[in-house]
Amino acid sequence: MANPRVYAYSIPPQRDEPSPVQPRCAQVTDRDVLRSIAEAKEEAKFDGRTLVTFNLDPATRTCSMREALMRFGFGQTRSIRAAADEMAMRLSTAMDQRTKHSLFVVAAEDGRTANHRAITLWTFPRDQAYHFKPGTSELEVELLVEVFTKSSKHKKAALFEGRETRVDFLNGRVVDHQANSRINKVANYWIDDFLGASLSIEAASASKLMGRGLRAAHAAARNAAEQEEVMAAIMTLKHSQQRMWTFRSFAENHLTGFNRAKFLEAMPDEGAQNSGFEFVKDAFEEAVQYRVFQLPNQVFVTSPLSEVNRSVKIIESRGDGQRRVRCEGEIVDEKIRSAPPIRAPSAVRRAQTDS
Amino acid sequence: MKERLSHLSHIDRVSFRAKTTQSFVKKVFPPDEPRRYEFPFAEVEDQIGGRVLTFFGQDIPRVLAELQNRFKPVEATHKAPKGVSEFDYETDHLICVIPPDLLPARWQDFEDMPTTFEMQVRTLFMHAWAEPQHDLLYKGRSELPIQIRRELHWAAASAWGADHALSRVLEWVQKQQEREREANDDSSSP
Repeated sequence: MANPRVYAYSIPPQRDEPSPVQPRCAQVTDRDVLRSIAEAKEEAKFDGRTLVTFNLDPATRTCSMREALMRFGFGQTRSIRAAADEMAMRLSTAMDQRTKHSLFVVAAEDGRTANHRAITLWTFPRDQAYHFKPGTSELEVELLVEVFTKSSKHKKAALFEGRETRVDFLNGRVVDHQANSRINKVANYWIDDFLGASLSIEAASASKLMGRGLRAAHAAARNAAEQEEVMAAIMTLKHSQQRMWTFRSFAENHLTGFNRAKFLEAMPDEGAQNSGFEFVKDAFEEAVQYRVFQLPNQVFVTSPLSEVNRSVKIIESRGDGQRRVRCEGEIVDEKIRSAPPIRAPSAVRRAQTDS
Repeated sequence: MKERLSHLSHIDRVSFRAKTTQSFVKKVFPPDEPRRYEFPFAEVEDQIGGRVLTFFGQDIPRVLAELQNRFKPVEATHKAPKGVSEFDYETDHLICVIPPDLLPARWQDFEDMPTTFEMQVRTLFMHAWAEPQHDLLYKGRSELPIQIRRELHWAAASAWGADHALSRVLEWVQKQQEREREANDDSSSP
């Protein structure tokens, strides 16, 4: 770490305390500890983590957590310690009794350029550990109680970096395994309460983008198997209870080869592909409401996805390589149109025509 | 942006532009003024600028609420004359962080790209005054003769007046429609 300043605090959960006390602090100068913090930053691989944006008060363009971070990163000695104390107290009063007593570490170091600082924030939950140590006559085992686990899956981290300007330190990246896997929308103390931030990728827009990406992959599919894989991915999303997704993890877990490439082509900058967002089913379904089957002689069958394999049946091939669609129902309305639902032959139909 | 606002009525247009090189250079190197930006490529916040034009003044708060919901602006300013006898530029300005899902591919490959963009929200009449006067003022306004400056402010007052007149018409129409609906409901109920 270049030009490091690192402070560590023992953080009790004090959200429900009427008179919370300032957490105890230690300035970290031990080289081994500094090295381990630098290693933890490398291991965190922040570039591929979820993006968050501070919630500034637009009337004043202020956010107390952002200001504390910048005072810690760029301030003079007295203000540095005060800023770290403020962040520690803020974390402690954001944590309730469901959260373990933790070690909070705030570390600043020089960044890419002379004016650039990188600030990382860590919480390591308290644990117990057995220590096997040499005694006076034989080996002894003791129980260590004030141990904070560096590799715990419950640890949280955040990285903010930039210069001391009004446009820097607006965004950051977080490591929060609880947020990444949350099924229900539970208030997240690390992002919402402590950092005072929100996920940078907005839920409804990202969910619609997922739908559009899958539509693009389906439209580009070269054969029925690729189309079916996309349909399976759509149905997975429709029925999944998982609330947090990233574009890339979805693509890697539910699409292969050509489909994955086409889906990711429609996705944003690579830096955002790994950033978590909350999935909103309604917004997603706006983009993937209907499945349209084109039959010979320009006949089209349009069906809501929920009706496929119910009132609209797809019959798999009987050895001639063709799928058939069958539906029957009462006509409640009809329209006359100037153009068919699909304006150009699909890639699959072109392939079939060419063969 | 258009899609996000598509459910709102009375939107005339949503437009975006990238700041021209000439305009950027003028902002970063203003003649006869000290330089304000140490890192201009990152710090100039209207390099990407968007604008929403509404028919009526009453539509502006609904647009602002929708933009607040989607983009969580870091700064919101209502620019308007302060004095009761003044008529001049009036627009709502928002500075928003560029959402990462809207960044084009390889944006992160470049140093010093802007983090924020500017949105303006105004009515058609506010725009009808703001755009020509911005185009006409080749020098600072204080260098204009008094009579020309009075013409300019008279035009701003006229635009303000027209905006408010249209708003009153809209309110009258909406009240009429409400009365007709109530009358229909009364006549159809047993």
